[in-house]
Amino acid sequence: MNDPNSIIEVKDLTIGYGERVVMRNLNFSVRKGEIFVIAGGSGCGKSTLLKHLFGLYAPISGDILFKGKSIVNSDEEERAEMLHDMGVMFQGGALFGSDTLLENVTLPMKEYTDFSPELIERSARFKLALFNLSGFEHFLPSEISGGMKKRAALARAMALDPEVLFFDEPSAGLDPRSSASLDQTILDLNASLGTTIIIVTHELDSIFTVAQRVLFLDVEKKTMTALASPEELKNDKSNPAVWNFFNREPF
Amino acid sequence: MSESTFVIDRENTPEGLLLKLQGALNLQTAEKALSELSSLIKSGEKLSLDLSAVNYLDGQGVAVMIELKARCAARKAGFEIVRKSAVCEKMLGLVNTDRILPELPTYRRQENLFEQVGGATIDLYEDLKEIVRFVGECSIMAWQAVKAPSKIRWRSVLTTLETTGVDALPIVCMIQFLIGVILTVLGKSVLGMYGATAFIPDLVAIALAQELGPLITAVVLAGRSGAAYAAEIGTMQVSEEIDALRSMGFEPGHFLVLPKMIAAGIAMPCLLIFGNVVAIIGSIITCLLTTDVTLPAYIREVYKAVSFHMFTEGLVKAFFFAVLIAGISCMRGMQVRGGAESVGRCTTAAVVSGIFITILTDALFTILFHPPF
Repeated sequence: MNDPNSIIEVKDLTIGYGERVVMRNLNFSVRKGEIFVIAGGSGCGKSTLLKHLFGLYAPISGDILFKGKSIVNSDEEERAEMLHDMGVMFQGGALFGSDTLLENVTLPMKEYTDFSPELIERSARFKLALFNLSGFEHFLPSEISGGMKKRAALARAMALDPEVLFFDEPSAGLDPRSSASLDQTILDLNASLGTTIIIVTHELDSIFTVAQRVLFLDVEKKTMTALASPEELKNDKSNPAVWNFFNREPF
Repeated sequence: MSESTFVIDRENTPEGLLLKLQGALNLQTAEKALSELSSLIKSGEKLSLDLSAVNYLDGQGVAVMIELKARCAARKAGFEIVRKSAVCEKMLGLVNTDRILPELPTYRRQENLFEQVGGATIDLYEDLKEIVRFVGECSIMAWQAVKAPSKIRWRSVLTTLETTGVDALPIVCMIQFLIGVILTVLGKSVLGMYGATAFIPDLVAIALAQELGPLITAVVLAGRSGAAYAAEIGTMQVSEEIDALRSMGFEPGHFLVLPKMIAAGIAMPCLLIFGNVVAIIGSIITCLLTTDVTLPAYIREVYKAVSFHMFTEGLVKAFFFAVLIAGISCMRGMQVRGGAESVGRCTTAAVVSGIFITILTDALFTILFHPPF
């Protein structure tokens, strides 16, 4: 591993679907304990990149290292091991519709720990309470609001207390207050547990609230064009695409 | 919207033709305007438009301008808008028409018969490859499940067993009852001609135990549970639940497909036994009402006709049909990409593939159990 402080390293990565390249020549690393945002216009490949980072998709070329080990070239067992250290919150929550919130959260614990059923339930109830979902343990995902679904999904992502949390568009579809509380939750998790957090978003308010560094993906150039703090990017007039994005310039 | 009148005044200038357009260029006048204006394009000459008297221009009007420019370019004629009314200025300023023009889609050419057959053959080949790959994966999963049965999600198996088996019982029994009645009526009309109505129980029992029972139950399973499996997994695919499973390190095959295959494999032979019993009851009632075959004679004939080998053949068939239907339906669910339309398409494909694979397997079993040579 080149950088001892980095938890994820991306090397010469080219991603896409089949032969269609979405992004190429991606090189960056995510430091331990930082809040790292992947930003860019709609359809630029942010979510696709995120899904590559936790090994859901195989890249066209290049490598992704998690704690120095390649996710791309790992076998099934090694990848499963790595995934225990990662939690993912998908855009729509992706909660299992036929399971209650409690069952959704207990699922990874039941599969990957030797805890007693009592301890698993206590832990799951604690995780749900952490995200203000006490009293909703036995509700089905279809019976709760969009914001609650996101929080439940976060509780599930946190089930195994992972080292890295991935968020795909966490504020999408949320009202401003729910969005602000989710941002605060992200900051709290990072501050209290030291969890490394990688977020895909294009919500400027969220970016300026939570991000320590922002990776900007340029849809026209099909590659990353900036990596810096949000304030630096907002004032960087040398890169028109970044400037337009951070200053809400219309097309 | 203003009135829909549109007039073109022509004027020859040293650079080419200048057309002064007047009135409204909108949904009502667009088609006529385009054909009139297009007829005035001359190769190598410039076409100038004066839009200062156009008092209304909507999206269709803009489309006319874009298309006219494209037609001029195709015939190597120049194109210029020399003057614009305020309305046109505003509307044409909304989009950069120069940017739209080179990106006009080239419409897909209608494929001829050979291309269609070729395309369908490639699709079929890809589909078969996918089925073979999936069968391979399922076999590995089944082997792993045999080695470590405790890792099977038995709770999920039980839940699926209820929906696939118990909930399907009324419809299976109803259909099988009617099949029993139909077979008896048919048997009476054919065997009756030879005075052999006493053999109706043999006909019904053998047909049900060996062929019709497993086949009819499999068709019901494919239409009912197969469609449900495909739609369930397809919807999970759309709502990223499958991705969520993978992100947690779960193998969707082990997590979702295997319990369904096990449940279907257990439910189907049970459904077959229940269904066949009900079909025999239907046949007995019909026999007693329409023929002189008595109840003891009927039961005696059934006992004589159906051997243990025949009975197990039906059960073995039922088991394999069920496992294959469940597997292929789940595979179709996994193939869902995009949204609701894809879920519908894959659900339909699941039912069709389920029934097809059932008939295909039945043919193979018939050759296996009753070698023709």
